[in-house]
Amino acid sequence: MNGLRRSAAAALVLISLGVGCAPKPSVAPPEKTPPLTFIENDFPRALAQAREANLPLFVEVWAPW
Amino acid sequence: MRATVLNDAALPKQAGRFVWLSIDTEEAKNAAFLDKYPWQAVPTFEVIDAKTEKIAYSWIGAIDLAGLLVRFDEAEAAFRRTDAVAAAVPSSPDAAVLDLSLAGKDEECALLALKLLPNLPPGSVKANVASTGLNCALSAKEDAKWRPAALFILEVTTHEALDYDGLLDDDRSGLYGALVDARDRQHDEVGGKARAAEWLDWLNAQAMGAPSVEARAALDGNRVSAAIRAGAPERVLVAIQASERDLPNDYNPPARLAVVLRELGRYDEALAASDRALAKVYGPRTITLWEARATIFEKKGDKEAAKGALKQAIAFASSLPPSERMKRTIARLEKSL
Repeated sequence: MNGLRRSAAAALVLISLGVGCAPKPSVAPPEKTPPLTFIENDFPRALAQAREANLPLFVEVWAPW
Repeated sequence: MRATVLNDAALPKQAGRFVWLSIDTEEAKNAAFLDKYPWQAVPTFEVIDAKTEKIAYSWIGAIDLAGLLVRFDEAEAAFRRTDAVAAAVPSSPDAAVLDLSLAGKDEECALLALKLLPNLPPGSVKANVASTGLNCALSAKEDAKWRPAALFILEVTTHEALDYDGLLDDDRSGLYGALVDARDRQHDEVGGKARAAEWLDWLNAQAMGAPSVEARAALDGNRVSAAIRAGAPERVLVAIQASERDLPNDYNPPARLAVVLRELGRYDEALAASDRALAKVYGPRTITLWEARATIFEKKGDKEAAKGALKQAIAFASSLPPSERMKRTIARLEKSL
C-alpha cells in the first residue's frame, strides 16, 4: 500500500515539472473518483441492490470498539 | 481498516465490482443479519451471492491493499462458480493457519505454521503465520511433546517479524501482543512485562505520529492492554483522558479510563468514568461495560455492588434479540454471579 502511494506521489511530481517546462496540453483535468460508498447497516437494501445489479455483495463486519 | 486500507485512493476503481455493505455488530438493527451470518472476530469480510444469500467467500482480519486486491479477484471467481458446496477462503497461507486457530485445532495450526515459515518471504503473510502459529502453540497442552521446540521457533520468528517492512499497525501490534503472551504463558513474568513495555513504547510512538484524533484513539485499546500488562497503567492515563476530551460522543475513552483508574486503585474515579461510558454506550458492548464495573466494585471490596452490576449485565443481555452468542453470554454471566 505504501509503495503505491509513493508511486502516485512521484507521478504527480513529474506531471508538475512537465507543465512548468512545456506548453500546456489541451487535456481535460482528470475526473475525481468518489471513494467507495458503503451502505450502512441495511442488509435488505444492499441485497436488493446486489440482485438488481447482478453483483456480489461485499460485507465488512466491524465493531466500534 | 475502513479508516486506512478501505480509504485508499486506489480503491475507488474497484467500486463497480461489488455492492458494498458495512455491518456494525453493535447496532440492534443488524441482529437478524448477525444471526444468519454468525461472526467470530472483527473485522470479518464476506462476499455474499444475493440470489442464494449464501456466502461465496470470506475471511477474518485486516489486510493490506495488495492482499485486498487479490482477495477481490478470488471473491469474484468464487461468486461466479456455481458448483461450490461451501464458502471459498483466501489462498493466502496465513488464512489457512488462522482457520485452524479459530477452529481450536492448536496442534495442526502450529505445525502448519512451522511447515510454511521457511518458504515464506519476509512480509505481512509470514508475520501473521508466525504470530498465529505462536498463539496456537501457547494454547496447546503444556505437556505436548512437540510444543517446546515449536514455541522456540515460532517465538523467535515472531520477534524477527517486528523488523519486517510494510506491516499494518494492527499486524505489528498483534506481533507484540503474541510476544507478551509467549513470555507470560511460559511463566516468565519479568520477560512479559519487559516486552509489554516495548509494545507500549512502540504504540506511544505511533500515537505521536497519528494523522488524526481518530487514528490516535484507534490505538488506545492496545495502549491500555500494553500498559496494564507492563504493570504501568499510569503511562496511558493522560492519553486516554485526552481521547475522552477529543471524542466527547465516544463511549470507548471513558470505558478505557475506568479500567486504567481501576488498575491505579482510584475506584471512585473509575466508577465515575464507568458512569460516563454507560451513558453513551449502545448495543452488546453495554454488557462488557457492566462487567468491567463489577470488577471495579470487586476490587473496592463491595461484593454486593459487584453482584448488582453483573445482574444489570444479565438484564441487558436478556433484553437483546435472542441468539446463540447471547445465550452463551448469559450463561457465562449467570455462572459468575
